[in-house]
Amino acid sequence: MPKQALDSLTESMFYVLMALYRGEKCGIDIAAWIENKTQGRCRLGPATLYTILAKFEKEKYIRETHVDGRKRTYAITDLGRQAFREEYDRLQRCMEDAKTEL
Amino acid sequence: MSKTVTHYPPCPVYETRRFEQWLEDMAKDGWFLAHFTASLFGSIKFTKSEPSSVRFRLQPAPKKAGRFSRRDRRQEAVDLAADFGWVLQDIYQGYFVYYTINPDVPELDTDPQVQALALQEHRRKKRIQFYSGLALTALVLVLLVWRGPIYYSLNNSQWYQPLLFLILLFALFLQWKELQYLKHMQKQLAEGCSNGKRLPSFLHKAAIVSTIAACFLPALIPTLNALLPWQAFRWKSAAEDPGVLPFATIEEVTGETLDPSHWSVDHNNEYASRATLLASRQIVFQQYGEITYASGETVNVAIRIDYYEMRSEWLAKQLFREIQHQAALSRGEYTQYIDHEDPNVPVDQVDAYSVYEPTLLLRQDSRVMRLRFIPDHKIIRVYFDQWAPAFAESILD
Repeated sequence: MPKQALDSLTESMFYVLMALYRGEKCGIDIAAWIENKTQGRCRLGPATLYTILAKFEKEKYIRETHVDGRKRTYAITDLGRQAFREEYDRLQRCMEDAKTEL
Repeated sequence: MSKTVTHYPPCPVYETRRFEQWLEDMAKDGWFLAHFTASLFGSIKFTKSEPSSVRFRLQPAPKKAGRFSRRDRRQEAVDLAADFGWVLQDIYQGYFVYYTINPDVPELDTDPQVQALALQEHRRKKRIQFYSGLALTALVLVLLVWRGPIYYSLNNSQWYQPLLFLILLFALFLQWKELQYLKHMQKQLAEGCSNGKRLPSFLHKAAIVSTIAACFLPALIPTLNALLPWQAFRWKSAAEDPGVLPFATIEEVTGETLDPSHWSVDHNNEYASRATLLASRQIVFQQYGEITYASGETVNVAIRIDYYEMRSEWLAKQLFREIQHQAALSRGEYTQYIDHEDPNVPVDQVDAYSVYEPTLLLRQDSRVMRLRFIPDHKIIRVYFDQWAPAFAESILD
């Protein structure tokens, strides 16, 4: 039975794809962008970030574009963009369902 | 005061939260982790330092790069952690041990569900190790059973085989225990439960573990020596100690005098005896010589007797079966001599055959005797039908 792609993304994963959506970044810049975007609400630890980047590379959501010493830069792929949009749509539907109940 | 101390951890390394907290409590007490030793029981060295609030975190080491990849995944993980302010102190049993003294540095793991993903890969590696170990243990078991574990544990050169098997079983049990723990941990993390809760101090427990280990190791060797049959045989003269042998010798069976003068061999008419866990008495006896009958006939005789008084009749039956099994597996030509039901041989079990040398095998209750006639370049005539009953009667009570 072939391995299945990530069924759903956690908040951290979603923000990593969001960080790369408009341009490539290296690991520490991704974490800084997310912390800035969420105003400190979502802080990514290095082990979490490493696991997410490794998993996304394996699932071909992102690819490594450049290595400069220890600094590794990543860019999102078309598959990654599609996964991001699907998750965005799913969250949108959740929000719309919630609105009808409030 | 000593500037370094050695301790044994109070828990297995896969109980990461407890392990981390123990390291942190040691640092608060003024002992900073120096390095892990390569000893069998995994001791850890600490150096004296100023008491400090240090955070220690253990991370399963990432998978190494594939054979054709130039990427060093492990170094990437370490570099990324260093960018955030975590320092890799050492690697221990497949775990990276990081520390930081900066309280503003974010935790290594900030998403329990992502942590569960990382643990999944770690569990996969551990499962591979476990099943490899299981296959190896099964192979050892087959080899032991194939060759006869009782016989080989009784004999000096093979004493380590059952011990090796027991050690493998124990290591397998520890691996299985780790897998169960990691499975439970992954399930909790996947449900979103982090394991950041502060636990009680383990300094006291660690001191107990270290004390037990310090007492246990020196006691281990003499305990094993008492239990396992690795004592060397010491040869003594049978002529100087008449009546010590619980079986007949060739002179007693034939009623003739054995002339050893033409034989130049070690341990002629000598015996060696010891007690082991499986046998209350185990004797090896050798006798070489020439018998000249009144008729003028000369017969060369060379025998080796292996005698066992096993701790139970069941063990004796198994030993008897194992010796027969080994003979059947030998590559020499197998020739059966005595009928197993021969009424003239009054013991519970008898077998006589030749593979490389004529062999008489007897069992009475919990006693087993194997008598081998050792061939040499002269012709040896073996009087099984005459000598077997006499040897059999000698081991009866």
